Order: sequence, then structure tokens, then C-alpha cells
Amino acid sequence: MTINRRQFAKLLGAAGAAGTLPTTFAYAQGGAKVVIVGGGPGGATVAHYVKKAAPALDVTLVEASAQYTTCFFSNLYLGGFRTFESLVHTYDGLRSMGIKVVTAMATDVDAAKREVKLSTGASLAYDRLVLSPGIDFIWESVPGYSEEVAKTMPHAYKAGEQTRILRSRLDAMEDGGVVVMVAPPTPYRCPPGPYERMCMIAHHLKTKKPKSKLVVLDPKREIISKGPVFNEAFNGMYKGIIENNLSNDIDSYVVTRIDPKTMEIETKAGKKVKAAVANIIPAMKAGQIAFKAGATEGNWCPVNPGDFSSKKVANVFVLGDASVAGAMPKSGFSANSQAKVVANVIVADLAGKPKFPARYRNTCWSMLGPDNSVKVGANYKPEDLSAFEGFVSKPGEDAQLRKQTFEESLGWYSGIVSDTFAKSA
Amino acid sequence: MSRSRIVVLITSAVAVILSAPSARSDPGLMALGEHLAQECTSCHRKDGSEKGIPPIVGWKVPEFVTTMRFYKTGERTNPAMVSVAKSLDDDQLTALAMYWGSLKRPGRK
Repeated sequence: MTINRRQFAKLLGAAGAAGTLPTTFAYAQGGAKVVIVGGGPGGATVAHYVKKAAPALDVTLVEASAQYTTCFFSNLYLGGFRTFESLVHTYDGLRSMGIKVVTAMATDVDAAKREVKLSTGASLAYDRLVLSPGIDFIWESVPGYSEEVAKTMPHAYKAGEQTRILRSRLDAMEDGGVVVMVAPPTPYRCPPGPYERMCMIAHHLKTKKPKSKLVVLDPKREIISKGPVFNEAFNGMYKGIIENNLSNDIDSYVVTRIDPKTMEIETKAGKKVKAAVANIIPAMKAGQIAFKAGATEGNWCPVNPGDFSSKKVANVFVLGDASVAGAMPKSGFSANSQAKVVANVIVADLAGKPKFPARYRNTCWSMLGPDNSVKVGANYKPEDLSAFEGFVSKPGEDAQLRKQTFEESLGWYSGIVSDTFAKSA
Repeated sequence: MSRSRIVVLITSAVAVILSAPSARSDPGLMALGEHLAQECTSCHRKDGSEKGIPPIVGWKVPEFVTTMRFYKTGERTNPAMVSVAKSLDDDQLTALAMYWGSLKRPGRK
């Protein structure tokens, strides 16, 4: 779906004629209220682009953390290719645009009253609510696992303190120790994430603890993203370091028991491993506030593909990892792309700005080793979020191309955090 | 650069220039370009600085359109850009070129 020059001129004309303005535009003059819950690449980008296009709108971003640590690139910190500080971003850029950034948990939504309740006891009224809460864990999907146990057997799948715990445990481990990763069932955040992490941990072991091993227990039957290039790395540069156990008809590597005291992990197939360091990534679901808002069906939030409005609650949008987004993966790039569509719909609706046809895109880079990265990407149709003109890196690519892809990934990181958090240089 | 590639480049550039004059004064197209450019800034920095992905700020319209067409025809091969270029029609490419061309290139060292 495209818009040509003539159609666009018509569209501008229509928006300019007072009689045809959206009804909500009238009260928007006083500064209609947009509340956004979740300050990651979905929510922060919506805040940025709504405020930029319509400065008169009252935009509030609610986020539990005072600073945001990106999950994307956190594996590179585990591999020793990135500092922790380089993953942390402030909301100063968004604040300087006039966005109210509130450091609090959103604890409830009253859709009838159009009100969000915060952990501070305060309430925020909204005309449009955007939920971009990311993921929560289904702790009981791994018997014996809990938020408490995660302090010693980290998931490191929400970046921040958890990422630091996993890295410090890897650093402290003696050479010869076994690192065990429990991979999550689908659907989960960042499809290539566990495999990139396997490469980064394996690199850490190869260069610092060559007698050590990484054992992966995966409830899935196959590598679900960039399989051929990851397999090339597992069987090539990390041969003898990674033992990747994928489930099959005979053996199931679904974990049936973990013991944080003995660090033993047992699977349905009867495999028992004693971990020196354990990284347990449980099953996932939409962030808690999506359930409170009534925006979920099962574990995730159904949305209309054309604009990511909730199929369950009026005046509410859900985007990013929490949404059911067709073929779009749960990634920071996807959330950032969806956010721009949501922002455009909101400013068209509340401030009479021109509305453009939705366009969605994703690209994900993964690092395999030093100067060696791969990528996958596609465009997505707004009708059904099916992919078109997609691509993926191939095994056997030369070192020069892999180095270029790595350098490109650094450029992307710099670009997307600048775009998301309105950061300058 | 091969001679045939130069011919293609010049032909494309002329085609763009011929089709561009009405576009230059079209505020609708510029607004479309600004909107579409939001997609570029998921990777390309808007301040035009180079951090691993080439800056696209301040390119001349024919240079921008021709480069994007090369991704469509296979003269340029970066798969991410091939994928992006193939999702854009000629009007959209011109709109993007006008918008990026209107931004000032940062000072070079």
C-alpha cells in the first residue's frame, strides 16, 4: 500500500478542512493526554514521535527504572565486547522535549474511567493509552525456578542487574566448570537471543576458560532464527565448547527440576547436569500491566495489524514484545517500528495531523565472534503483518562481509538508541 | 566503476532531475519524505554522524534516488537496504530524497 502525490495532497486538504477533522481534535486543543507505559524501544519511541509531531499534546511516559538498560547488545557485554555502561540510557533527551517521564510502576488500568494507577499512589488520566510493557516470566514453567532463585541462577533476559549477575558468575567460575543454559519455549523475546548468547558465552570460555563447556537444554526442536549460521558457529569456531541439546521425538530437554542448592538441572529425557553457572530462561508472557488492562488473550495481547490498537480495550494500543504481531519478531527494532505507526495514528486522531499508511520493518543483528556478525530482516504488510522482501545471512560468508555486518550493527545500535531516547551523539 | 554503470548512473540522474522540478515545490511530498524518514532513523543517525552505518544527511536528490534504485536493480547488494528499497516506489524515493537532501550535512573534519 503506497500513497502517491495526488492522494497525499487530497489527504492534506481533508485534514485542513475544519468540517472533516476527527471529532477528538476539538478537545485536543487543550492538550489531550497520551499516557505511555513502558520506557523501552516501543514506549520511548512513541513518546518521542508523538511529542515531536504534536508538542501541544500532554505526553507522559511511565517507566519503573530511572535509566533504561537495553536487552539488545547485552549479550555482547557477556562476551566482553561491550561495557555495561554502554547499554544504559537516560530519559534526559525525552524530558528536554517536554515529555513527562514518571519513574513508577503502572499497577492498574481503569479502562472505563480511562485512568492508569501508579505504584506511587497517583493516577493518570488518558485519552489514549499505549502499553509497551515488554515481557514477564512464567516462573513455574521451570519447576523450582522463581524470582528469588533468579538471583543465583539468573535469566538475564531483562537487561540490568540480572545481566550483571550472569557476567560476574561467568567471571568468577573456575576453568573446567560447566555453564548450563536453559532455553525458552516459543514465543519469546528476541528469537536469535539465546543463540547469540551461546556464542558470546562460548567466546568467553574459549578465550578465558578453555577447559569449560556450555551445555544447552532446549525444549524446542530446532534453532528458530538464523539456524544455518548459528550451527556453523557452534560446529566451527565453538566446536567442543558448546553441547546443544535440541529436543526430538525420543529425548525431551524440557527441564523438570532445578535445585539452586546443588545447582542440579534435570530434563524429561533424564539428563542431569550439575552447573557451575546456570542461565535459566523460562517461558514468557506479556508484561503484568497488559493483564490488568484487560488487553490479553492467553499470554499475549491481540492487536489490529494496521495500527496496533488493542482488539480488547478501546483507546488502548499495545506494541512491542507484549503484542501478537504476526510474523514480526519480538525485538527492539520491531517495537521501534511499530511505535512510529502508533505515534502517527495518535497525532492524527488527537491533533489533526496527516495520517500515513502504516509501514513495518525489522532487522536483527547477532554477533557470533570477534568481527563476525550476521543479520536477518524483512518488511511486514500492515494488512496481516506477513513478511516480504526478507533476507538472512548465509553460512560461508567471507570474513570481510562478516566484519562489515559487525560494524553495521554498531551503527545500528547508535542509531536506534538515538532515535528511541531522543539522544544526541 | 564500469562504463555501463556510469551510463546507468547518468541516465538515472537525468531521469530524476527531469521528474524532480514539480516535486521540489511540493510541500506534500516533503511531508511524506519527513514521515518516511522515520524508518531510516532506526539505523541511520539523524545528526549525520558516522558510527558504523553511512550517514544519509544532505545527499543530493539524484544521488539519493539513484543509489536506492541500485539496491532495487542489484547494482548494490547490502541485503538490508535491498529489502528497504524494494518496499518503496518512485514517489516515496523522491520524497525521501527531498527530505534528506533538505538537511544540512554536519561539518567534516
